[in-house]
Amino acid sequence: MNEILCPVCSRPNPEDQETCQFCGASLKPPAGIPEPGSPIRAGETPIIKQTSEFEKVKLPEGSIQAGETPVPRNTKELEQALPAWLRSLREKGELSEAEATADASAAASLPAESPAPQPADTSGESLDWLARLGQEEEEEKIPDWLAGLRSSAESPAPEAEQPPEAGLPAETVQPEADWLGGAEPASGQPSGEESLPEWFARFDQPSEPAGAETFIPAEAELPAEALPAENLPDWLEALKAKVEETPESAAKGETPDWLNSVPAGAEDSGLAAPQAESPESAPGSETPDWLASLGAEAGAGSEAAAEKVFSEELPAEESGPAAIPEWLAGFQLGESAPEAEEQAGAVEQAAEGASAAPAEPLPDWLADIQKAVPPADAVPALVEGEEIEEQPPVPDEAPGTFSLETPDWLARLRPERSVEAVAAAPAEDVEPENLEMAELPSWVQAMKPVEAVVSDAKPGAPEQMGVSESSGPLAGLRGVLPAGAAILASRKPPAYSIKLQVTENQHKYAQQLEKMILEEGQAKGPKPVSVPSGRLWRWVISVILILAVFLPLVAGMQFAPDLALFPSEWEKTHTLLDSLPGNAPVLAVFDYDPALSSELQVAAAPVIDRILYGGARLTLLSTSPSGPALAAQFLQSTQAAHLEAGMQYANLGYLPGGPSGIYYFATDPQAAVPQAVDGSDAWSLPALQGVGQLSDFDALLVITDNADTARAWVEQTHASIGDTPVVMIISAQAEPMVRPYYDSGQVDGMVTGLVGGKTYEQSYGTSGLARRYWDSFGTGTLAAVLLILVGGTGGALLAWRDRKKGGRA
Amino acid sequence: MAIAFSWDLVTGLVSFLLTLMILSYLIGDNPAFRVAIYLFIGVSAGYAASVAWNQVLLPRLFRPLLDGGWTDFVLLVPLLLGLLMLAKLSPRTAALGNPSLAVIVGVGAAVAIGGAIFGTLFPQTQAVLNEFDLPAVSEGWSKWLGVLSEGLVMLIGTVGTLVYFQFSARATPGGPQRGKLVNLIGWVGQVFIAITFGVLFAGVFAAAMTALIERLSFVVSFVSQFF
Repeated sequence: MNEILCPVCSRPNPEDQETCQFCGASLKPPAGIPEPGSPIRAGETPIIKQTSEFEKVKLPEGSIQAGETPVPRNTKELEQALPAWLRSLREKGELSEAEATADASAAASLPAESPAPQPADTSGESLDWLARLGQEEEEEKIPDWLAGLRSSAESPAPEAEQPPEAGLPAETVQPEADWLGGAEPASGQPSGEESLPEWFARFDQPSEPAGAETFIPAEAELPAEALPAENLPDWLEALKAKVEETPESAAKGETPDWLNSVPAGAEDSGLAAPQAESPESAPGSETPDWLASLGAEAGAGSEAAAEKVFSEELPAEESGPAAIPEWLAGFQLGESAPEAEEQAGAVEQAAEGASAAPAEPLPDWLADIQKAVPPADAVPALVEGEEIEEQPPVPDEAPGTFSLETPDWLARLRPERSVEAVAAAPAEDVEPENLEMAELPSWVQAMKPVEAVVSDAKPGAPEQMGVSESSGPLAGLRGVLPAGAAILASRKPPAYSIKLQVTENQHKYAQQLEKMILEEGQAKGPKPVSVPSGRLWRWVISVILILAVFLPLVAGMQFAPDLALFPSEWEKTHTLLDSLPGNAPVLAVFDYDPALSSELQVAAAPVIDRILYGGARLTLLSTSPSGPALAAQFLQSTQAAHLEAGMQYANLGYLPGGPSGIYYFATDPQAAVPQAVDGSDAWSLPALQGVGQLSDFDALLVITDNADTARAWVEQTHASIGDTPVVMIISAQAEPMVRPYYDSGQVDGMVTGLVGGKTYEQSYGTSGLARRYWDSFGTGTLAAVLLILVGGTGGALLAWRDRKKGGRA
Repeated sequence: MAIAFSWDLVTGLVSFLLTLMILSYLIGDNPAFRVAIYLFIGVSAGYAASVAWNQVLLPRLFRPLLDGGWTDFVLLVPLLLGLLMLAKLSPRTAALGNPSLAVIVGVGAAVAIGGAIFGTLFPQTQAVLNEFDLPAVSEGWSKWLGVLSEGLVMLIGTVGTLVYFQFSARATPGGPQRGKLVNLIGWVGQVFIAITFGVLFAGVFAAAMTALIERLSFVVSFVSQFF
């Protein structure tokens, strides 16, 4: 019955099993993924696959395209891309070749039982053995790197670094027993039986019975013809040639460089293989990184504890170079799992007591000691990579390419086996089948399988094995990111333009709004006025009126006839004034401003002249500060004749207080105005003889240009004036407001302006200012009437024209 | 012709120049016109102050207080009120002049209102009523009609003017509108108002024309004396 190795635990399972009976892992590859044996083997012709999808992937320049025939290349220059520890080993190997001659004597002195230093083993035999290992790796799922190491390690010292993997199946452990067997002489020869560590003896004792029967030397199972010479890599061929040239150093020349350094050290110290693992015997510069870190972490304590355990359990005589330890043979050749676990448990107890829980992942051999079944997270990257390679998800390499151009171990070393990539990611977080290198050398990328970069090449794979990354540093990795399919299927978000998208109408409206805002900020000045026309009209009107007034004055001619009709109030006023008795006290109030003094002088002059001719005693009073002066000026300019005749008048001067003063004067004249203008006792003057009350005056003449003043005199004196008549000599502008008082009888007589003065002059037959001004007044009024008519007519025509234009519009 | 120096000539010359300066306003506002105006205002104010001191304060307040008897000490009240009025010159002490101002306003308002009611309102109301006191027909139809027509015109003018300033209106869908009768009477009142303003303008024009004639007559007289 065929068996199927579990891709996880590498334990054999019946062929009909779908899941591992040990670990429960799926034994069948997911749909769409080729079987593990399907990859093209070395020497086979690659099958041209559909590379249309692959061509979409941008591969580094110089990489091999799908379908192309690989061309052998010189990989020396590509060695820079090798891991550091591997390069150091290569360099050390070159140095160790020079030391091979010196070590030849030591190798020749090894006992015949030692498998590794057999003189009959030439390089060709070693290569055959390695080639066979290379073929068996695919079948037995042995890690390539171990195979590579084995191919170059005839010396048992480096093999001693590989501890017995108790957790591995017997098939996988068996080859390692060969090199372990070969290592024994190397470790034990320099120091003899006494130099064997005790742990060797301890391991040997329990495993001796079974191991002795099943142990098969490596040389017997690995014929030299198993691996064709053409399948060997260049460096192995070169190494082979070098070994042939120096047969005396075959034992040393067949081993890897870094392993050659180990025996040298071991020879000096006389320690066996376990001692080579210690930092003292294997300097950090000469050991792999993981080993160096392990040594540093483990420290001397762990080493001492292990030595103690081994020294107690390994008898000295069993570690002799003549025979392979039975315990080791039995342990490696397929000791039953319980037995191996028992041994590993003993070692584990010792290791646990010695080690102080290393923080970093332990090497596989140490992990296998501690645990019967090595967990994935405790396995070093390289070992884990090896296990990954054996699993079904990653069989799609180009084996032909690897077998032709690169060493087997390197050909098998897929990108996910990169030490840096694996070390960067925690072991427990990475699925074994997803371990792929993120940053790969170009020549490794060229060998990347098509399926690794073309996600669609494996239909159905994403569902079961995760999505394969096709770009970025994780290119080629599958199922690394735990993102869901929806996220993975997301695409580039649509790009939205930051430019505002507006329609044509919106753009038009925006322009209109902007225009309105700009116009709002601009100051609008007043409409231009036709200043010349207004000034012209003003000059024209002024000239016309001045000429109309000035010409009669200059000419001295009478242009205006006398009044044909007298005002209606003339008769009553004339009768009143003519009825004043002689020597009658008359109160004349001069309440007008100088501006209109000319008009009031013209109006009052005939009346005052008339009553002065009647012998009246005139008393002057004013409620305006300028009144007394105007009154004096009036008498001097118009009544000069009466003054010269010694007329009696009394100037009481200024009466303060306005209406209140008038009221006060109306109620008590002597108290209101006790003194005359000259400071004398007013009421003792001849003009005021017999006057103590307002009603004592025979007439009250109010000469004013202000209707309010006239109304105040009427209102404040109506209760005190008695039957004394009130005559208003007013300006023409105050007539409309004073006439109601005349019509109501509150004012007994009224003389208005120039017309009133002209009326009284004309009625009295005198010629005074009224007559002088009358002609000018007539012509000026006529001119004003004409201007009003002309202006009114012109305005009406313009308005009609504008209205007509407005109607047409 | 030799012109003899006299005060009349000086005053006449000053008056002539001031008159020309005032008439220069025909060409617009100018410094000559402003000088004449400022001079007139200054002289008027100075003259009023001198009149108030010479004719009011000195003879009627200070002199009685200085030369008067005990009874004249009551004049200290108007003196105090007058001094408080000076406090109005400064905003800080303006409140001190309020009592004086209150006396003036109070007394003036009382006098004005009393005079308006009994000197204007009642007599004018009575006068309107008298307009419709028609004479007897026996005195003649013409007189009767004359008085009646005068009363009607006055009545229509008064009512029309009052209705014109009546702004109450009725709300309508087309907006607030007054009645047609109200609009008609208001239009009549508008005519009376226009006539009144015309009469007032005529009176102002006549007064101004008389002043212009007097000034031009003075200019002619002043200039003519040199020829």
